[in-house]
Amino acid sequence: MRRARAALLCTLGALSMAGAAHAAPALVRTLDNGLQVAVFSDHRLPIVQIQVLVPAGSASEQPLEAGAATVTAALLTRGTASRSATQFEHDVEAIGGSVLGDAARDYATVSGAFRSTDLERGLELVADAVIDPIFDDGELDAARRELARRVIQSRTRPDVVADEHVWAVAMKDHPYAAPPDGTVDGIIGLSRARVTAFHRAQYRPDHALVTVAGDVDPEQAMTAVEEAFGSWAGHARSAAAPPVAKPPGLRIRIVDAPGSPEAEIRVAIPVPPRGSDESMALAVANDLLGGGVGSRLGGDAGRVLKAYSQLQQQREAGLLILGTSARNDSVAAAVDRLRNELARFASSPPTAPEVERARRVLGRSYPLRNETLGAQEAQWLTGAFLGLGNDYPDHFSERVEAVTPDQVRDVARRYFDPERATIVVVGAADALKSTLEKRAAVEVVSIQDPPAPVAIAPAFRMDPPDEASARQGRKVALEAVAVHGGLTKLKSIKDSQVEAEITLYHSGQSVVGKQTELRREPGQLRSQTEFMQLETVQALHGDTAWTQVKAGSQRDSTMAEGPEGVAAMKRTFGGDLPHLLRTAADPRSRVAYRGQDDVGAGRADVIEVVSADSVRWVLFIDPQTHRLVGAEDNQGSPLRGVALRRMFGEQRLVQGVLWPFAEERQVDGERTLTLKVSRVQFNLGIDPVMFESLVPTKPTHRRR
Amino acid sequence: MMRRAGTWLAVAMLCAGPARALDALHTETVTLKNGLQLVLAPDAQAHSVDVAVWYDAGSRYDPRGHSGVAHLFEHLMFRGSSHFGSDEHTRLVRNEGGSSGAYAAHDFTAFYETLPPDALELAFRLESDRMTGLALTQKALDEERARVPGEREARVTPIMLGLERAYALAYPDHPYGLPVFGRPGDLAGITLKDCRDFYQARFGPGHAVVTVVGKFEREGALALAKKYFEPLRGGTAKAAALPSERPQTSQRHALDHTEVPLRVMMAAWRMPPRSHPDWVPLSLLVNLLTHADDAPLQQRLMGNPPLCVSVQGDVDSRREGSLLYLALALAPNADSAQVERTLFGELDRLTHEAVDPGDLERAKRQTETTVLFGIQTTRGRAQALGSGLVLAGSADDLDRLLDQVRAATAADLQRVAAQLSAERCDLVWLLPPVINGPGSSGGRP
Repeated sequence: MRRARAALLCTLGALSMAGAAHAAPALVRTLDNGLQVAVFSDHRLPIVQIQVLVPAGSASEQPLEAGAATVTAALLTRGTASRSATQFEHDVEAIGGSVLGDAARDYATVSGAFRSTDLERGLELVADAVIDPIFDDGELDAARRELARRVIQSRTRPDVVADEHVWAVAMKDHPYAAPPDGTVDGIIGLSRARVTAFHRAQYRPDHALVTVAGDVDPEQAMTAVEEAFGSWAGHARSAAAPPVAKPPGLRIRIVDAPGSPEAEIRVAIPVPPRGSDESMALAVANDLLGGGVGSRLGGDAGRVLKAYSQLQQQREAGLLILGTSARNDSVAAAVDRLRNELARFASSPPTAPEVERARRVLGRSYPLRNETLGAQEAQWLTGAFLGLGNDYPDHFSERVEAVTPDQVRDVARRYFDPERATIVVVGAADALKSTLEKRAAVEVVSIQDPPAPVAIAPAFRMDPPDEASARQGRKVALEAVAVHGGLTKLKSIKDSQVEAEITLYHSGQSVVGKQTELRREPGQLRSQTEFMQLETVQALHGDTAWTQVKAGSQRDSTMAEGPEGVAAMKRTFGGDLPHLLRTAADPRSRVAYRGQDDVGAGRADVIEVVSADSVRWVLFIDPQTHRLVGAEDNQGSPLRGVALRRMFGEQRLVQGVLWPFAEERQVDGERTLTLKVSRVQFNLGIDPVMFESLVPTKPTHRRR
Repeated sequence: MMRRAGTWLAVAMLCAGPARALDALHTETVTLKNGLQLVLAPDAQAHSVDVAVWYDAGSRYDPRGHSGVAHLFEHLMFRGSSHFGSDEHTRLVRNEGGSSGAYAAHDFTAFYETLPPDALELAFRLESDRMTGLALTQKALDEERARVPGEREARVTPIMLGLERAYALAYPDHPYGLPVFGRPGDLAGITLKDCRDFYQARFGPGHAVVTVVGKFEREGALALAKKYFEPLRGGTAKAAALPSERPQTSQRHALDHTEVPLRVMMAAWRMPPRSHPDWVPLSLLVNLLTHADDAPLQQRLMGNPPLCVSVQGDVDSRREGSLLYLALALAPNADSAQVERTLFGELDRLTHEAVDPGDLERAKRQTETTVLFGIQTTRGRAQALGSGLVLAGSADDLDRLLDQVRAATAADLQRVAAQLSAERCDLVWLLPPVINGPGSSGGRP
């Protein structure tokens, strides 16, 4: 219900070319923190709509932040510093209002709708969502799953897939290439730290805009905005987007949907960005080409649009996209028809009466299409965001109605070039490729693939390393080995005993116990933990493993581990610092440098190590001190399993080996356990009997 | 088929004319000599004007065995009339920068144009021309008939399927029990003569209400109405009285395997029309129970472990009766008997415990904001005004309903909660086609 109401009440979603003109803002002011505020007064109904625009769209995402814009916007209302998600929802619903966050390519918006008597409470709620979200782990997890599910569902819709890929190909290497809703890998892989960092960097007042519209007194509303947003501080991160490359020529991508009997087709040409001088002429041209009833692509009847065109303009660049669908045997003909219509529009431009009709329709429909408070605000936000001035909406109609046939002809000649088109066909590649190849080289991608390459977190990279990264990885690994005592020293450890205080964390609770870990070469491990009355011993002895549990005065329960348990114990055996570094130094291991990433409080070099027996570890090494600061066990993608991370701290020398005396273990970024080491000893001559099985002669196997 | 948005209470409240609470919205009703009712609702600050014609020509008047005729007129009315060709209507409105549309419901069929204020006359020309001069052809009938299955397919939702079944249970003797789209078998048998007869009987000024909402001059609009509509004749045929439903004495069931991804349980109750004093408390009760994350039914059914993944409810309103429904999408492993027990247990609790005052206040405010935000546009206000006129016969209903909402008490809700008994319930189960195989008969999953 929340979404339905929000959709009804909040209409900022599309800052379209056509929108409400009419009333100019009653008051526009820039607050001390740089926040620009506009108030619109309309007393017809006792309601108020509040909108906030921040430059936090998907185009602002830095590498490794893919999906952050969408996830951040979705989480704004799911818990703040002063309210849990439930409390926030309750507080909004209690006054019959709605608050909704959303993200597009250029910006993110937060929209609130309330009765006008609730203006102050509404502003406080919207400001709370914008300024103080906390990105609670549980909420983040739920939001990631929900958004990933939506992205997966969208892949079953060829029209959505086609639109995403056409942007990806036409805007190659530009942030606009990425789908605004992110990708499954991007969304699932987003840690709380990255979402928090994205919010901190982009949700700042100096480039943000706020509007209040409705049954309000302008001065009082402005004062209320200052009250709610005045303490918001900081400067938004600014990173210049690279220029959009001019397309070299015809490009064709087939998004392979095996077995599909028909295909979704897009033909796109680059056009200037929104707000450019030619935008009005382009709008008229689009209307005549395929945007309106009776257009060239739509046919005269206008009852069933067989093909259409759409002008999609962002702040930095735009596309004119022609779309249709066709059965496999007529896909090539449909592509040719769309391209021919582009060429024909340039060679046989519309007549003066046709231009007159289109510009009249666009100009006269502008006020009608956006009569709501939200739409009125959206138009002003568009103009302000693009730097077009406060009166941009007021002059839309007159500007579009001033477009001349010559201007329409000029934009057609300049941009409607079918030889520079980007063509995307979503359909069965085996049925379509050979015919399309006659027109240009064809790239085939799977419908399961993200439309544009997504930067993968270094810890998840599993691609075959090139020689340089292998060399670099080995170098960084050996530097760490040296800092931690050298390979000879590390190899000289034949057994070890580590005693620690262990704290388990779960659902906001923690419990403290003791742990003692014994290791003995080769392949022997005994880990003993005690929490209150519960004592657990897990042991590895070559290719067997066992577990014993003692609970108070009850009898011991001892079980042999199955193959999975043995494998897990072997991993644990190889996961202490000496073994990790020995594996990294082993010439038989594959070692690769995967880049740098934020790990804990600082940056770390990320090294992937795959041992001779195919056990994969990711090591985090401080680039300044060369110390091993963490290690991770992941499956290369958040979709394939959890990431188990161990962070090392308080490193001290023990018999010449630099050893971490503090350790934190995280599962998918969430702290589950900490260790505070009290004593580390090497080469004690630990008796092998310590590791031998206590399982009765007829063991009962169990699965871990 | 009328589009649905928001709660039915909200939509119904949009169905009213002037409201003392909303001084900006004044209406004036003028009856022309031919019986046509003209309702004027000027708004000097608007940027458009909306003209809508509301015909007393809903699917309730479909000839027996030929259900779906009224719905066909939603489309046939665009296929040309005395002075305009097929689809010319849409094109002319569009050329002025406006938009037009139509919808058919059980109690009415409506047509509208929303235009820049200076194009008001076009709407009068177009609507008056097709009010009595529709060009009905076999070609248009065949083409529009062929589009119906696709149209239904595009609009179908689990709620719509559940409502169709629930109405069939709740109104076994009344045409409300039949879908607006018509029964699949009936559509093919509709002849051009059926359409001509229906047009003759149900269209015309005597069965029409014309609403004009937005920016216009009263005198100018009145003159246009007299010029274009007053000379028309027709729409005086009396319809036979419809059967009234028998009292319900025990719970009724339906079970269908259909295209739903999860098991859906729809519990529905036949209720009085919205002019009845119980209607607002019932609508508030449904809102209170379902329209918030911490609403009582959401708490009971979607808690931990969840029995349901979604809980919705509304009051679907028609001229002679309403249908209150609660639609539950069950969690995959939920026990359906437990869901029923929990639901009816919670409803029973409401009959002897007062609702939480905070919940009631929330429901009232949600209703009010949904109504108010819905009438921001000229079209939204026209929709509110017109459907109020045709469903409740009043241009003043919004004010009454808003007043009732504000005045409703916990005792009012407790009183009407008694109507939501298990015995009076019509229970519809929609099951995915793959779970239990094909089959369609009474019972439970």
